[in-house]
This record gives sequence, C-alpha cells and structure tokens, in this order.
Amino acid sequence: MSKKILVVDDEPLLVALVKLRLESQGYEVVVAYDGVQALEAVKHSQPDMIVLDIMMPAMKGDEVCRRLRTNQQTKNIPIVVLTGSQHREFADLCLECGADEVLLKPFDSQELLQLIKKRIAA
Amino acid sequence: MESIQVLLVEDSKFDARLVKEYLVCQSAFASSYTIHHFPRLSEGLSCLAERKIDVILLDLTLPDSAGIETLRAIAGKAPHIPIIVLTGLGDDRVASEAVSKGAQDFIEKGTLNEKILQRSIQYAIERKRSEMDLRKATEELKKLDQMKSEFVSTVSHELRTPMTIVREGVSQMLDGLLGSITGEQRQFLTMTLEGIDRLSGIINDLLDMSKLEAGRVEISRHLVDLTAIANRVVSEFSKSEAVLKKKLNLKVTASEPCMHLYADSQKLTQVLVNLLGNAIKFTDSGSVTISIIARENQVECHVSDTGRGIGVEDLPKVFEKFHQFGRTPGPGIKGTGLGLSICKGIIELHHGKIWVESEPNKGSSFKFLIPRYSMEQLFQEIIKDHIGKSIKREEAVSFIGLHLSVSDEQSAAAKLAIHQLGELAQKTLRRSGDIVVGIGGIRVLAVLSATTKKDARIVETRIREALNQFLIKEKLHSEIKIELRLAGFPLDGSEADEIIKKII
Repeated sequence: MSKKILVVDDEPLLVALVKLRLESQGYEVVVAYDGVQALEAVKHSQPDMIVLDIMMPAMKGDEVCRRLRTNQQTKNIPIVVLTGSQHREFADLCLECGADEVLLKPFDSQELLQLIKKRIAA
Repeated sequence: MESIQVLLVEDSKFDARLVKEYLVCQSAFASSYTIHHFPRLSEGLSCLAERKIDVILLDLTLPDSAGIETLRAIAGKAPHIPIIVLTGLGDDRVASEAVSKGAQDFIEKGTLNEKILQRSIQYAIERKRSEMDLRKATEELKKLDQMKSEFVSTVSHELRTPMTIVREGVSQMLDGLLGSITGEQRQFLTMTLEGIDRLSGIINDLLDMSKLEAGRVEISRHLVDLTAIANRVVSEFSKSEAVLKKKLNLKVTASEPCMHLYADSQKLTQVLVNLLGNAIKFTDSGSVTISIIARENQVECHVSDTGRGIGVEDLPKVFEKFHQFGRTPGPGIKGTGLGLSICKGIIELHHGKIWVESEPNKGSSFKFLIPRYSMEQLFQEIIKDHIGKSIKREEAVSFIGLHLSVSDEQSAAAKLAIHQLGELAQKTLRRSGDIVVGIGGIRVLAVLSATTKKDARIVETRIREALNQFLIKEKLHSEIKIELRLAGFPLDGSEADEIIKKII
C-alpha cells in the first residue's frame, strides 16, 4: 500500500502543486488549508508524514506541531515544516516545537522528495 | 523674561548663601533666577517631583547621601534637567567622574563667582537642550532603521510563497508532469526557472544584509580546514559554464596542506563563493587563484584574478552596499551590489578584515585575514561579544559549557563517541545560534541568546538526558564522563571573565 502524506498550506495553488508532485511519485495525498483542518485530517486519515506550512490562519503550524507531539498516537509522525521566514528565531521555534525538518521557500521539489524519502519509503 | 528656576541642593549654609547672592542680588546679566534651596537629597528629590526646574546645582556631600550616588539619584529622577556639580577644593577626580556620569559641568566652590556661575548655568541649559534634541533624533533614526529591517524581512517573507508556486509550476511543466513539451518550450521554461532562482538569490542577499546590519547573524564555529573549503568551492566552479567557456584556470595554493581555524564553515564558503564568483565574472581569460597563507596567529586568504581590474574611483567603495562596479551595458553580468558587503560582514563576525588590491587590466586581488584563536581565546571573545550585544538590546543571554572527560586509555569506540556526543549535543540544543565545538568535540560552548538562565536550564537538562541516554546505550558511561555547566548574564556576573570561570 502506498504511503499517505498530509499537505497543509493556506495557499490552495501551492497545495495543488505539491499534491500533484507527490502523487507522481506514487504517494497518496490528503490536504488541509489551515491548522484546525490539519488536526482533523490527522485524526481521520492517519498520515505517515506531514508537510506543514507555518504561517496559516486558524492555528499556526508551530501550534499544530506542538499538539501532535503531545498526543501518543501522533507524536512520531515525521513533520517537514515549510517556511518563508529565514529568521533564526523562526527555525528554532519549529525545531523546538518538534518538527523534524525545515524547508525554506521557494524550495526545490527534489529537496522535498528527498526529505520525505529519508523519513518514509514510498 | 521668564525667570530661571534653580534647584540648589547644598547643606553648607555659607556656600548656599554665596550662590544666592551671586544669582539674585547682583544679577548683572539679563536673566533672573528663582532659587529653591534644600540642604538634603530627599528634599531635593521631592522638589523635582513638584516643580518645573531648569537647572540643578548639586553638592555631592549631603547629610543623607555622598559622592557619585548623590548625582545618580538626582539624574535618575530628572534625566532631562542639566546638573552642575559643586565640588570642594582639589576634588578633580570626583568632578571628572561626575561629568562622565552625566553632569553638564562642575564648579569648584573656592573659585565660585558671579560670572563663572551664571555662565556655567547658561551653557549647561543650552548644552542639555542640544543633547536632548540629539538623543531624540538618534532614537527616531533607530526606530526608522528597525522599521526598515522589519519591512525587508516581511516583504521577502511574503514573496516566498508566490515564488514557490511559480517555481514549482514551471518545474512540473519541465518534468513533463503536465504533459509533454516541445524543445523550444523546454528552453524557455529552463530560462524562467533560472530567473526565479536568481530572484530568490537576490531576496536571500537582501535578507542576509538586513540581518547583518541588525546584528542578528549568529555564527556557529567549528575547527575547519580553510584549504579544504577552498578546494571544494573551486571544484564546484570548475564545472560551471562560464569557466569552461572562457577556459579559465582555477587553482588553490596553500602554504600548509591543512589550515585549521575556528570558523563557520557555511559562512566562509559563502564568502569564497562570492569572491570566486565575482573573479570569474570579471575575468575573460587567464586564471583565478585562491592562495592561503599562514601568518602569526592569523590566516590570510587571497582570491586573485587576471581580469579587467577595478577602476581607481571604485576601489574605496567596493564593499559599500548596493555599489556596483565594472558593469557593462546590455545583457550579461547582473548582481545586487550586496555580495561584497555581505562578505565584509561575515569576515568581521569572525573578527577579521577584508580589503582589495587591484590594477586596471591586470587583475584584482581580494584579501582577507582571520585571527586563529585558541579554543580558550575564542570562548573568551564569543562571550565578550554576546555580553556586549545583550547589554545593547537589554536582553538576557545564557551560556552552556559541555565538558567530556575520558579515562586515560580510551578505546576506539570512545574516540568515535566523543565526536558523536558533540554532534548530539548540538542537535539536542535545537538552536541554530552561536555554537563552538572544541577539538575533537571534547568541549562545546553554546550561546543561547535572548534566553534567561531559567529557560536555559530546560535546554541544559534536555542535553544532559540525551547524552546520558546515548552513553548508556553505547555502554560507555564508565569510560566517558560528561559535565554541563550553565551561566547566565547578568545573573552570574557582568564581565566575560566571571562568566568564563563559571562554565570552563
């Protein structure tokens, strides 16, 4: 069975593009457009990995991370954080709240695929 | 004309009477004075709270306060009012200290006369007024500068998401995910992708510069080999289209096979990439050489080319922001004019200096010099830098020192583990901030900026637990002992030396 990845970003076009790219590599993709939806999606579809934007309405990515990490069922799901901010404080914040990888926008999709492959095999 | 309100804090009745006489009874100048006289500091302070005062005449030795403390109390209560200190005979040391601590002037009581006193008051009021104006202007400038930095950072942040969309869209077309494309389409899409990457390079430069200017760049220092870094950069560039097309000869020469120093390898790579990239851009034929030379306690590095050189009028300005030189009209060489300013910033973060020598049509040589600190010196320098920064920003800063002690006969496994422990400590730190790893990972110094000692303790515990777990797992806990020491500024001392003693 193919691995399932949850993609979360408040930019629908970006979500659509990442979805297409991941599907082309044989992953199953579920999507969410804000933090609250993301938590719902995790509960329902139990993804193997999460690609998560930070700056989103209705709960930011760092809070999503923190909640996932405090839940027994979800605390081990690998998370790649996407961020537009190069600020050190920001990267620290993501790692501090439990993200496994940070990817700076605009990212190369090959980089994203490699990060995913490192954590889960397709 | 409005009368000047003078607060006189003086416990000697005789001296007070003299001042009053000089100011009121024999007023030869146009100004008139109203004097509020109190013999005690506490009374002076309450007068400041009640009345609008124009100038303070202050005796430092009072029944309820003495010396510089008196000045500090008054100045603290009225930072915007000029203070003239009245001193006893031969009290020069106190007088100059008073002026350095914010008094506008001092008058020795023995020399007091009408002219001196009135002139001193007039000048003190004027000087204080311009000082306050200047301070206000400086603060406004600082605020503007901060706004500019925030603006740059917000704008570039906002640009990144749409850029990601464009980049990913184009790259999917190129990869054929949206159907097959013609050769011509491929050519144009490839160019589009290059344009997007250049744009993101410009944004990165802008952000780097604004962070450097705001003093927000932290460097992570390890023992690195500059020659190896240079070789890597040269081998990257050797494959580039420009070098192959112009048949440039790229090489590294070094006075010693390995040139070890404590530095941020990523940042030094950035400097060499910038310098080498520039050299290649401006050299049409010949060679580009990186030379590395060991100096006493320093490393010197030259990036020399046989290119067109830099005009005399451009030479003093090459490291200035947005200064572009050697550009030719039309297509071709483009840049932001930020690369060299960023190089300068990075070299200065390493306490080094950078300069350029050039001869038109013969070539240019960019040279930098970085001190080679011993680990102890480096710890000292870093702690000093960070204390300075924290004072300026009015933030706390904490330092964690990691010590690994190994039994005399260390096994191969222990040797390997020491290296891994250094890496693990950094990973567990979960910070990208200033970190130094000592020789072979035996000692690690981590700087947690803007972190109080209380918060730093959480990080310390996290590292200790992770390292102990590792040692137990590897069955090395009897062979390697770890010790973590924590110190916080300003809690554990205000000088670098005090902090160092706590953690080393």
